[in-house]
Amino acid sequence: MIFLILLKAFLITLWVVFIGLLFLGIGRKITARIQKRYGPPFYQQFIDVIKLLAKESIWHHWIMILGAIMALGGLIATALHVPIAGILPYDSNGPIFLVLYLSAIGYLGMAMGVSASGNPNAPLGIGRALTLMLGYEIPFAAVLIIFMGLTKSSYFLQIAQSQAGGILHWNFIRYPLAFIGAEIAVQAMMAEKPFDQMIAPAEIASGPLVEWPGKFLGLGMIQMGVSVFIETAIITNLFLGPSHNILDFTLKQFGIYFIALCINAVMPRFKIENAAIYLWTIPLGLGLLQMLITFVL
Amino acid sequence: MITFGTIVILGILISLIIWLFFRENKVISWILFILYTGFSFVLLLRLYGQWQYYEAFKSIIYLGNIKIKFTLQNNMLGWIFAILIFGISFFNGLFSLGFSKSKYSKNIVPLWTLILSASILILFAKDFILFFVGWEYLTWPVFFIVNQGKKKFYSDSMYYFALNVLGGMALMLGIWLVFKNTQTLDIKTSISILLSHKASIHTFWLLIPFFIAFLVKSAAYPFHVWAPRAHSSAPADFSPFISGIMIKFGIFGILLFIYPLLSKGFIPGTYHGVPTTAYFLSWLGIITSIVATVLAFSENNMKRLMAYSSVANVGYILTAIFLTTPLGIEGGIFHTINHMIFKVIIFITLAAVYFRTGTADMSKLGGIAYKMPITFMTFLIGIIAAAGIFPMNGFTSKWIIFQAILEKHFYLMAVAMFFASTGAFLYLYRALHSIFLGQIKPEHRDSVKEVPFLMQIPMWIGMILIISIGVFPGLVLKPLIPFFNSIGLPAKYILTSLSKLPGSFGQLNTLNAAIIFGFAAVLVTILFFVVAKHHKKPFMDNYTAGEDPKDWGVDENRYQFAYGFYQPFEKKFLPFFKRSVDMFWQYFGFYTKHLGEWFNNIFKDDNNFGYIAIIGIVIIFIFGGFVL
Repeated sequence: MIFLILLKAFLITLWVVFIGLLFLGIGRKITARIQKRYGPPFYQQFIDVIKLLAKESIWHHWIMILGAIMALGGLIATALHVPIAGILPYDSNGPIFLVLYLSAIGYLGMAMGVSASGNPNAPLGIGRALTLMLGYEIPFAAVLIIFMGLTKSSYFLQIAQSQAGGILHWNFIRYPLAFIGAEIAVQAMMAEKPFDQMIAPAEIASGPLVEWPGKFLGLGMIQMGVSVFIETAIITNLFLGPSHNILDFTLKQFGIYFIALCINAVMPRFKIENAAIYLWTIPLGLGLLQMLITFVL
Repeated sequence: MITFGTIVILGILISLIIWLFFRENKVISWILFILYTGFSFVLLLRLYGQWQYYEAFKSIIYLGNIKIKFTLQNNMLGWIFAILIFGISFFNGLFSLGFSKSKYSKNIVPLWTLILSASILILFAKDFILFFVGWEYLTWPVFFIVNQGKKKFYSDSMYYFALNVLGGMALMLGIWLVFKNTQTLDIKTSISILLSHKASIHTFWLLIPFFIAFLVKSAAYPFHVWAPRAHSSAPADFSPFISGIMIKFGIFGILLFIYPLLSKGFIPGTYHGVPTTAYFLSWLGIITSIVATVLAFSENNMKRLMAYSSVANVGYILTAIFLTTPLGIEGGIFHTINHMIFKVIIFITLAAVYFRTGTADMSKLGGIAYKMPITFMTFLIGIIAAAGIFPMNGFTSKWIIFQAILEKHFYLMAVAMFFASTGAFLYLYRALHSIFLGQIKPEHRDSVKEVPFLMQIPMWIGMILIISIGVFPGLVLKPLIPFFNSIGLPAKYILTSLSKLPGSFGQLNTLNAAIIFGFAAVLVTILFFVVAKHHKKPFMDNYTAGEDPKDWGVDENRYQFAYGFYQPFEKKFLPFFKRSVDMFWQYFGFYTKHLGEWFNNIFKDDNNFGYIAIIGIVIIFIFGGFVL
């Protein structure tokens, strides 16, 4: 019994990492094409991860290692609780609160790891990331609570199954305001523009990952892939109907990621406090408006 | 065997013995304290299940024409509080025994034992008189401990004192009102008599003094101002007690007296099946947690920061309890217990840091984790629990609280609670980074080392408890089933196995989730150690765009980012929050003091006008009494 659960968990983990890295690779290619570059091949991300993992790395303290392990481990555990076309390692049905609070352990691990690296630019990035997190979690929670209230359950699986019966029953058509709000929140969650100040991909000397060399960065890249997977999977479960098979599910996930990429490619950047305030006004406002329309009117 | 009487009398005796003979000897005092708490713990443990057990005073006291027989009645709620109080104090005593060797230690044992014996009176009192005696008897010694007899703590401890005396007076007024309405001082009887009266809006005024008394004690908004100040001026090893235990007496009072009245419709009016008053108080809990969370962002003193965290958690508990549903009560009590455990542990680690460094300013610390790994691990697990993240106990109770809110379909409340809950993550990480991680200061590099094993014992026990309750919430919830049955918790919300969290919108198998979490952690650990090698470098050997920080004259002291951590956020929000309530209490204090001085001046004047005036007023009253 427990062996079966672990075997399933292992296979799902492989799939999650594979799809996450594939998305990141395709994403690089698409961004390049939007900017009229040729871009790296779509499998470049796999090459990068393998190269980084094979590199000899420096570390400052075991807390740094603990942080890196917690970061990736926490996110993988989260991914194993998000239903992928209804598939889960055990019959958890995708408990929403667990997913929200388990993903936090991944972010905490990363924050701890970079703090233990002793570079002051790293916690600066974390401080921004957490401020942004306070920004996007609230509208996202509002959207989640709408669907929890509608289905009287706190499970992703139930929300996905409640949309059965053709595209007109899918939540993004029935609850468009919530969908837009959640999309903006997910844009911030993935740290894509206009919310990318915290990860600061263009500025090498700041941002959380400044002091993560070699295999730490490799783990960080896998973690990024897993987090993209989780975020797109959550939106897919919430808005894009029940999926019949994994391929269907993955295509929907890619659709969500594609939207995020296109916005990312053409947007400038928010200052972090302005980003938080923007997230508390527009997406939260949309979410609350949807809540009002759904439950009161 | 007389249990309650023994604990109370023994507490007073030990307090007296220590005060008379061992005032100078901290080690013997603490050993006596540990023996006392351990002995009481064992005595109390045997009372589980004997809910009919009571101890009555032999003599009967007449109050006017009412006769009172003081009785201490065993009850489930009081028992669970008592067992936790004595258990936690036992381990806190072990820590303090080690702490007593430092120059920061004060001999607070005589007062602390008094507080513990007072807690028995509060928890098991059958009538309001004993309850009130215990309540006051708890308030005063804490003031002397918090004050430490030092002038610099005067104004901070005055916040505690003034507000809690206000609460005590409110409680007395409330008891008098209840007595006037019911002609009895027995708590249970008075509740049933009050409920038999016809509910009207006037009954609301009867409860106001009780609200003030209990909300002050539990440091809810707008009375929260005393909590951070009392924590920061209290001795480091006493702060766990304030946060972990003392503020919970307010919660206990609410559960004991206010909840039975509100849930039975004592005050007319309901909103979605919840009494309207309770609904607003539920929002008060949310406001408490949001205000405390936002105030904690800018806090630089680690004890004040964690005090704000306690206030925020009290907010969650109040929200859950004032839903007045059985599930809300379950969540509230469970979170109270969990918060007791993890907050005591967090404050113990802070005391350990203070023990070695002598400072509570986070900007003066940094990198302590590299020298105190056990303390760091304990703190880490404590804050993970405090942030409500999964494998720790904080998550399990937050889960039930969320389910209780959703059960009533208060969706906006759930969103607001999410804000506070996510905000907790911000200030907790800030504490983790500023105290324990980053660059270690040069002055701490050689002097700081791990605390002795004796002081580590509570940390180990705490870590084990936090994780095991997180994975097996049934360890706490199962023994409480008789209590939940008595408040009418539906069978579907009662735990069927050790690891199944109940909920209105779905259940959670915590054991399976923990297995998945462990699997992921093991998998990544294996991945990390099978791939390329890694070697260790000193902290200052950092990537700084290829330059050496030392070339710019930057040392470890200045290479740490700790001050003004969330500055962009603070700039936007804090002036608004910081001013309102604090200013109100400051003005309140200012005018009260002036009023006092005015009265004082009457007596100070040389012309004796004051005496004549007062005597005149008294005479008028006396004659007035005859005439009317």
